[in-house]
Amino acid sequence: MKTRTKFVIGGAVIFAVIAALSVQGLQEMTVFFYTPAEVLASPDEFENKTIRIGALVQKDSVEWDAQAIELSFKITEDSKNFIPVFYAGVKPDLFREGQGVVVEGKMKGQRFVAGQLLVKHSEEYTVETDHKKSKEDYYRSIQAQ
Amino acid sequence: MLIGLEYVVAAYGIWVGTFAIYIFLTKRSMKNADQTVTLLEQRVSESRKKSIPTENNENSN
Amino acid sequence: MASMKKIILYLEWGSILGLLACGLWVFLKLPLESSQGFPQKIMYLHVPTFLSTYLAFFVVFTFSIAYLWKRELVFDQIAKASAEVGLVFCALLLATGAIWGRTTWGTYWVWDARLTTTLLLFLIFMGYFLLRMSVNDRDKEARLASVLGIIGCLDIPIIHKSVQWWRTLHQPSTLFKVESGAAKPSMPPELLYPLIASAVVMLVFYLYLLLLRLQTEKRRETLNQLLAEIQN
Repeated sequence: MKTRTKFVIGGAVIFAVIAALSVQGLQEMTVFFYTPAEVLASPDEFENKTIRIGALVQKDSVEWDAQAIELSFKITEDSKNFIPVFYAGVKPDLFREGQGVVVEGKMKGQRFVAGQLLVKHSEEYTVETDHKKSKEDYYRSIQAQ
Repeated sequence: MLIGLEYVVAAYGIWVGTFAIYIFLTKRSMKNADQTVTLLEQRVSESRKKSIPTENNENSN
Repeated sequence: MASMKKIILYLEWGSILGLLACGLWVFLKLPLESSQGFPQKIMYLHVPTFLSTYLAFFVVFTFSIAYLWKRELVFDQIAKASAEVGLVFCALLLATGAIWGRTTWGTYWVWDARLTTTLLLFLIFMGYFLLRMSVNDRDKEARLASVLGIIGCLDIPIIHKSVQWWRTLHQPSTLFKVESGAAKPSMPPELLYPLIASAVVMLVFYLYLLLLRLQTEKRRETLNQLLAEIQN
């Protein structure tokens, strides 16, 4: 009975340590990205610091320079606060207007210069019901690009 | 070619390959254990047979 | 024991044929998802794999408690077998997730809450087997492993809730989406049904692996006992 009590106490201690460590670690990873509103609210705090911002790509704001491989667009979460983003790199396959993205980089003045551009897709899955894309259609749509 | 085909092939390939290896290793380890158990049991029963008539000289090895 | 062998054989063929049937369904019959296209097929591997991972570690949790309570060796054997199968599922969960992430997000790995807590689960159960290997006394091994197994499994609800509690790159659950109190998976039926079928088949496949691994474990235990007897 005594050894069992020891094990219970030991287990509780180990558990407490793991819990404490993970809570501290979790606090750092819990905010994987900031929102544009948060960044715009306190620009001094974020200036020249590597951060991630998660938001939606604003419609009609995407400019893609295929020659220079440069992408610029505006991100927003509420269509009121915008941050212009500049990204020198290849456009991801799923990047499109209205899509959720997470950009990693630094605020340089009014502009966010991103070193990494990630696409955050939603949990919604859909099939085009009007004209269900068969594999052949898909094939053609790729070749047309 | 379908966009992303290589990723789908890689994901399914890794999944199937890993379990094929895992099942193979598990079955082999079972077989090995089985064979060793039968072998040991045989040896034990043989040594018992030998040791029954001469019960006094135990542990000759 | 002969009947156990038969059950394992049935489960083996049942799950292999089932997995093949699901594969054919997914690749030959399903329409392409409109935003992701072909790589969405990885979902039919990734989602059932995480369900099997959850179940495997839930079994570890249950039988670890049962062992500490009743001290029956077979409970520890079940927990150990399930932990090993769960570890394989967890590794494949991370692998398929990384590959899928590369095609949709544009990266194999990020340190967001969902991915980090899943990696933590994997590492805890790597430690679980190191612990088992480092203890020589069978009863002590079972006791310590049970305690670690119970603690480790507490990570599962954290993983599951991580996408709701925190901001993550990983999207919230599609399958377990709840809208105004009712379950409402955000998928059209033609994409959802094969997903459910794959999940059911993969849980059967998990059961097969568990029983196969458990039988191997029992055989090894018999061997160890015999060896111990001979040495004495």
